[in-house]
Amino acid sequence: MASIAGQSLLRDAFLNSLDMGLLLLVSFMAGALVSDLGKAILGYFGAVIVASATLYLVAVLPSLTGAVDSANGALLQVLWISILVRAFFPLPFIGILAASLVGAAVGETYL
Amino acid sequence: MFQELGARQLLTLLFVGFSAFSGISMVFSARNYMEFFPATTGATVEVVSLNVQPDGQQINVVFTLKNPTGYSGITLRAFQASLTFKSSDGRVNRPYGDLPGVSKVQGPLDPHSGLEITSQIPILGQTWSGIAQNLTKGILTANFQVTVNLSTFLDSVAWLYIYYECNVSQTPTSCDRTETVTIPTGGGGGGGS
Repeated sequence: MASIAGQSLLRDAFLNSLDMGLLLLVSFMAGALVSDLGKAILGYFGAVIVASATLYLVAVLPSLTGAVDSANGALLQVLWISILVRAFFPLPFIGILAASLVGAAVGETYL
Repeated sequence: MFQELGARQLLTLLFVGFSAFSGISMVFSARNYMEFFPATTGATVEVVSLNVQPDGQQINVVFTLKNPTGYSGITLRAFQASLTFKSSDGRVNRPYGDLPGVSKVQGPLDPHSGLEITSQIPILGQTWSGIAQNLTKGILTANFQVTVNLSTFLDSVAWLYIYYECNVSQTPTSCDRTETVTIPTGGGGGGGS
């Protein structure tokens, strides 16, 4: 999830419909592989936390390494929180969860 | 080979392959992103030519905005410059105002290249003509306050302004960056340096 969202957010600062499609697909696949609704929900929240943290760290890395001065670095950190919240809430967050659950249901039935 | 695998194994392979491909794509995006900040902090403005027409009725000035890095994705949204004639001893300080024609220049700032911005400044009246002649003789210098507004991938959340000051007595002259300001587009204050 982090890499799909990251390759787009680090270039355009928003997720386009292709990225959304890929996120839904990978969530569906992950859910199907887990094949358990409970584990899929837990896995989803785990994945969202890890993906958001990874993306945020990569995005604010220039302010941590000193490539950006402190004033703009602080602003950059706030901006990236805003970018991530805008990118994932509310519809993608719900859509990806739904894709994981549908994937888990399909996995439980057919795999 | 894949015929021996079950649906679950195939799906796992597909998932791993997809994740690996996405990871590699992100590395390229991240590399380009890491060049974004050196590109914005390294963007330079230079006055490549400044000359007064022989009849003293017009000053022609050419600026170059350069991107010295390999980053692609920056566009010049607006270029604004104001001119003040100054003497080295501080006795003369005559503001002319904004330069005509420069605000229309827009375009992508390609890697390792520059954009040329030209202005033809009309000099009307005896006083201004005299000032222009003193510029030619080196008695006065032209002080340009330049504001560059760059369009970047962060436009949806913030706009980037870079301010330069150029004191020109002879060309070419590199301008000094005085401030970089990021203004959130959603309102609120901006960060400056």
